[in-house]
Amino acid sequence: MSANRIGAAFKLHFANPMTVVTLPLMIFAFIFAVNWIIWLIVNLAASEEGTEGMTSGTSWSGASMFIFVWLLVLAVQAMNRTFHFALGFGTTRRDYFLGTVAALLALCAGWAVVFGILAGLEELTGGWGLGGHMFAVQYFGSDGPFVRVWYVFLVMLFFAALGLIAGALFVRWRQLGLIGFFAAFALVLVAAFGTIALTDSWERVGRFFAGLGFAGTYPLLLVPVAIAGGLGYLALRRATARS
Amino acid sequence: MTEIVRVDGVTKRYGAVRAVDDVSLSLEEHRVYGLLGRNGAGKTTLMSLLTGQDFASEGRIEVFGATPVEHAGVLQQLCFIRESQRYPDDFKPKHVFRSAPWFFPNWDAAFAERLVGEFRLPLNRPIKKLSRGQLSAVGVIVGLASRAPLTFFDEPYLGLDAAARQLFYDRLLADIAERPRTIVLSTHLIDEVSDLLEHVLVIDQGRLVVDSDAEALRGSAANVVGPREAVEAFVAGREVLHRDGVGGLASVTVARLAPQEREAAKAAGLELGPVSLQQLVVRITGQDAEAGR
Repeated sequence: MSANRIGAAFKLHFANPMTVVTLPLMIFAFIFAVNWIIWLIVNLAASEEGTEGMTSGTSWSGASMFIFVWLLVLAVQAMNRTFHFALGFGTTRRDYFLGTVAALLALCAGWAVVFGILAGLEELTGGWGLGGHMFAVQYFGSDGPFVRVWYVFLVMLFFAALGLIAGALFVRWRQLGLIGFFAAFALVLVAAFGTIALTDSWERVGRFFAGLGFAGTYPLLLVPVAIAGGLGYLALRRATARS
Repeated sequence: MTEIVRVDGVTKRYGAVRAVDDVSLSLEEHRVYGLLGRNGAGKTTLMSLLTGQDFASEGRIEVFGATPVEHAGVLQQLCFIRESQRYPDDFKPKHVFRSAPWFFPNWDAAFAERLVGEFRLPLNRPIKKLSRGQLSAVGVIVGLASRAPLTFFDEPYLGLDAAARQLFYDRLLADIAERPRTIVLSTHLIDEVSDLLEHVLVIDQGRLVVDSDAEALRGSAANVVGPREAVEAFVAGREVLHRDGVGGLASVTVARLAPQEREAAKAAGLELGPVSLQQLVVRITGQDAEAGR
């Protein structure tokens, strides 16, 4: 294991910045522009009451969800895109895996910071001058910009980890790996819901999360993240250039 | 000579298929090896095993004194761009050459740049849009410019035009003369590389059937030509690789003829002709079909 070789795998993911950085930023800017135009239209068309309705309505906006889904897709593809190539360039699977994890961490962190800055700007400018919301939304609480960045980072990490394990399973077992993963995932969910429903514990579950609050609940995402990371490595460890 | 690769009884099974079947061999430093054989003979699988890209089912492999699997110190000294190498979907050749120095400690960017010009490789075209020959050129350039102590070329000639093949040949020869290293060339276009090879490994249906110095191999086999009866009488009891003939004339390829046997053949009024490496390999690996199996 060496920082050099892990760094090489890390950089490989950014060798063509178009895919990982430029294109998503452009799409993100476009989505923002469209939202802003819609807010403007509503502002011009609606009465004062209607405008207020928009302001409270967009505070639950899902417009920024694009970037989470993008990150998921990117993470799914990351390994399939580069694994065979990295193997051809003489990396060990271990260095490659660590470099890939580092690249995803960096992407999550980078996007969380961008997200946090835009949320701050949104609050400062009174919703971009129109009372709209895209970043400072309810899902990430109202505990200030730094805490918001932390929450966004955790959610991003969750999506990235989900993509990472799906990608690793695909590289190892192709479609069968993915199908098996989603089948297992569905069974776990059903089992969890079944247990809660049959033991009549919905209220207790609700109280548990309410008790934790945002600050306690979001870090719980680190549990599936760690599990996905471990399983992803186990899958990749025996993957070959043929598989 | 220093041994840098040692393979001991290595088998690779895919289900019921033995892609590599009980192969033992050793490679020495600073030689050019030809890994020859038909399509699907196991050449690429063997190279995948030597480079730790695949796992052997049985046997031991040592490269630079250690098993190559997950061994960064060993892998760093290898370069193996496979014929069907998969590149990242969004990559152009420039991205390949941009990332190469991160992985190959001896990467020579100026050399790579020169080769790109000589092979007329478009740097800015998506890899997916390259022709077969241009794709081969990417692999050849990585193989040459990485200057790895042990470099594998997997079917480097595929799709390359005659000028580009000659260029590869010339650059490889010139470069290994200046910076000696070990080369393994896998190909089924044997005549093209024949002069380049110092040692020949022929693999057929997963088994290593020839492991010989190239000169010795070329020198040992012969075509015996003459009247059918005289030829048959001469080759009786020898290892016959191939029989051919028209009417009363016969031409028979034998694997080995010692100098005094050559004299004897000439004394018997038979003609001896050389056998090219390609003919020899075709004869050796085509035997099953001829035997009607």
